[in-house]
Amino acid sequence: MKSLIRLAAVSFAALILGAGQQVLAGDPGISPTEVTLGMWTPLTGPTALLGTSERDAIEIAIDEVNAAGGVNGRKIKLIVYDDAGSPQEAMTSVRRLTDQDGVFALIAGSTSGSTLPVIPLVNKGKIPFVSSISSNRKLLDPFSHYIFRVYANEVAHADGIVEYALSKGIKKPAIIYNSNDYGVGGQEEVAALLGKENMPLVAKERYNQTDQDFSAQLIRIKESGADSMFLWAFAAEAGIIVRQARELGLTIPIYGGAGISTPLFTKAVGSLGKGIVAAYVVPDLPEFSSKDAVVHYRAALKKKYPGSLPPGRPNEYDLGGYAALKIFAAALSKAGSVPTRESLIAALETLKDFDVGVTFPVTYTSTKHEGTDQTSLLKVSDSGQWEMLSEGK
Amino acid sequence: MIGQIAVNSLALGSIYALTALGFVIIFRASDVVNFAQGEMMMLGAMVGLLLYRDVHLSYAVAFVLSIVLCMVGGALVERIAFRPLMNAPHFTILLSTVAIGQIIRSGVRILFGQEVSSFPGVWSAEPISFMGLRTTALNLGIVALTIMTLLVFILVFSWTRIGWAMKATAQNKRGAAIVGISVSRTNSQVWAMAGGLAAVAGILLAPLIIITPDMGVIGNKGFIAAILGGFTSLPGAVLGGFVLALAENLIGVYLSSAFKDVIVFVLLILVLLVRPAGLLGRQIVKRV
Amino acid sequence: MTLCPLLLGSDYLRFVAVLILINAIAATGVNLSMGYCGLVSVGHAGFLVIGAYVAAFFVNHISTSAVLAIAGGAVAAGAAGIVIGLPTLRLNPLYIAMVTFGFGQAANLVAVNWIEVTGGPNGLAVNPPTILGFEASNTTLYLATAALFLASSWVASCSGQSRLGRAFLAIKESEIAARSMGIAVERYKMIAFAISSIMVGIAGGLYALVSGYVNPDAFVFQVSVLLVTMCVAGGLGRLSGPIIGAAILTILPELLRPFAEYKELLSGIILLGFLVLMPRGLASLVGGWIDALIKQRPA
Repeated sequence: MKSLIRLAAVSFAALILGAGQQVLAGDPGISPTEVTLGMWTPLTGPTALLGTSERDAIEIAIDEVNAAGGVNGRKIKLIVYDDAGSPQEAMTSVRRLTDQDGVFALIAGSTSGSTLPVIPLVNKGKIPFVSSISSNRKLLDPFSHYIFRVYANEVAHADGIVEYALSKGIKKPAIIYNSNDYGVGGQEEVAALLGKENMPLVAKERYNQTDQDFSAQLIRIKESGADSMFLWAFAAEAGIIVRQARELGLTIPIYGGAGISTPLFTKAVGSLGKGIVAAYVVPDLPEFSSKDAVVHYRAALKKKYPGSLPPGRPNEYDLGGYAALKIFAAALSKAGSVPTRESLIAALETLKDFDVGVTFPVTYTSTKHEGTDQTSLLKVSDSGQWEMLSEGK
Repeated sequence: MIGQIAVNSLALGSIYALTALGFVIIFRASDVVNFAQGEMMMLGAMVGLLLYRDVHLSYAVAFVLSIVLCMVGGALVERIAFRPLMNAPHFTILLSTVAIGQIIRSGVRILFGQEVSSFPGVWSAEPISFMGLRTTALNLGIVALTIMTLLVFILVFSWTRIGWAMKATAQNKRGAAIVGISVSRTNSQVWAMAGGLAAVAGILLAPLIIITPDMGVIGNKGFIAAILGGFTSLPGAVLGGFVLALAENLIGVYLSSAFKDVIVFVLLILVLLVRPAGLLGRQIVKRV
Repeated sequence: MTLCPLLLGSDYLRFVAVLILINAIAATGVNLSMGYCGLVSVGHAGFLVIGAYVAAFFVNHISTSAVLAIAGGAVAAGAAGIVIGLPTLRLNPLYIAMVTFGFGQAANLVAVNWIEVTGGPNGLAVNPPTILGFEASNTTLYLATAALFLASSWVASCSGQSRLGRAFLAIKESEIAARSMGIAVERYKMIAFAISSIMVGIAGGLYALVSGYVNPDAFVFQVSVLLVTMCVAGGLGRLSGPIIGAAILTILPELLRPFAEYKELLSGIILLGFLVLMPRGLASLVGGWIDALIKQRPA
């Protein structure tokens, strides 16, 4: 009886999942008419905005490429899985994409917590991966032959904003940061950079993602006599942090990481956010930029959402996803008449100052897969909106 | 500084208290721990936001309409999920509330997108000062409304027929049926009430927190606050909420802000060992 | 039977099969405490955390032996189970639920915040383990997991049928009656809880070794709920219950994966449907049919 049920359960699994195996000669995921890309990203869960933005952008870019006849006659196909921000789901998704679905390359990726664990799979599977979400430096440290990053990583973000803050004459900085990979990474970078100036942080306060109240941390920062505060958080809790800080009478200048550089932050803080400066990963604000490529993207996005754009769109993840796909397509076109994964990687490594028009130009070499280390700065204007402060560094 | 910490805990305390109240009220009225409480609050807040911001109704109308819609929603949920499960084992009912929470959350996400927004408060969020302590009119207003909600429900359970019917059904379904109470109608009322209360809580708290489909995680803290206060006591739930908030902030400031959640849990467990019925609860005595 | 999946073509399918076994071990543990003995626990993910991180620590710093790592994880989890259980098991079920909930949350928070040891939110890579001195390949790990799975089912079945099992059943039905019959209620509860925490700890260790990475996001509250759901949907208190539950709830997300963000909604609806249509779990339904079939045969 026992064994019967076990047999049934396991065979059922085998049957259902065994269907749909692809067998292709050469590298998987590529045929004379089609090339398949795989994407795993949070489409649900607290970070779903990142995933849905990137997916929309990549789909728009794919439509454009396919409408022009594809890359050397090959249309791009996309398989997307939701990892709900969970590393376990990320791992099974990636395994499925590489083993079962046989994709040619991976694109976008997920938040660092769901991307770092997958690196051994990418390396073992020898599959190229163009990443446009995770900013954690450990994605490319140790170096991986297969992984490429589209925007500047957290080290560069921290560099940009710390340099600005120093130029404003801070002497006793404090930091409040999220306990997730984004926050912890940022805090380490900021501390290291300040350490070079012999300026230790007078307060380092950490909070957890689901916290709703930050009075304890803010009171401690106030008591430490800090004259400035770095804020490494996502827009949601950053809004509450700023509001509570001002409620407590903490009026010191606030310098933020790239996590708060979305319109959702300015909506959440309103006029309380005046004067806050933050790091940003693209050269211009997606919502307002008049650069051709961005205008073009906005129009395409509006066609996807004929009613009204979802809140907080377009954002930097839209631009990053669009750029990632265009970079992939450009490299694929240079990868020979029968591209292989290695020829794709070699082609990517020839890109120099390649500019899609929505993000900073990328340059790759055989030893450097960080596309760029340029960042920009944003400031909350008097009317409570983000505006560009300086473009590119 | 303790004074400021205490005042700062008011807002957080109200969040926990209103959520805890929701848990305890449903429990008293139907013997079910409703793990969808957080998601129902989120739904109320979202519906309110939609009506206020997109349909451009006035705040008051949006508030009331949201409550009505959520009450209808609650009764519907009862019809679909709980009526068939009336005689199911406890764990099954518990897990079905979890499933419902998940359905509400994913439904909202798909329909409204990954919304992160803020809701305006009824009162001003400008900081005010008195006796050297800083807070806002918004915080004080929410505390006042929390206490009012508590009083309303105490009255409902003690003085109204509906309240008595609910308590009776929760304690003993068959007995209640024997004395002429319509169990299924009472259950519908309970869940409609749950929906309405969640909407009230959600909208009241919305200015303090950010509205996203994942907002429902407050339910976890509310659950703890309810247990702290003694799961069977309404005033206990509210007290538990404020005590929990105060403890978190005190520990956060004086001990460690990173580990404050862990420390608070350990303390909670110790409290329960000393007083298993929580602060204001009564020891559940089983008669043989 | 359990070895069938080794014949499956892709690494991905083998991985899913291993996950099913790991989840089955964990669910069997939870079933032992909840289904056999009536002790509600919504924090068993805490034992997964302990089992996984201790095993990772062993493999990374002490010895690459897989056996040692899993044993280490199991012992640590068991110890935690005893520490938690001793003061708590005499309380009302609602409070046991709350304490276990708190434990699960606390364990996860420690994993997130104790960055020096656990790698914090980024987690830790786990070095490849060795079995008997040879580097463990996917296949050997699978075999090891299968072996442990069979062992845990055997333990569960023994517990269910022996004097231990009868004591558990008595306690679950009515503690007061059991006590009045002379059953040392506290001792048996402790045994059930300890065994269950050890099993879940083993599952945690296996997860760490098989996936090569541990990270606090894999052990959130939803995971505890998932374990309980596996037992309830499969059939609480029955031997095959958690196994069926584990199989279904591991395969379901994979089947729904192509639906992207609708996966969350669909799995919620399917789960609700399951619970409403089969309140006592699938095993009870299947068991019922089989019983009826047997009864029909002429004596």
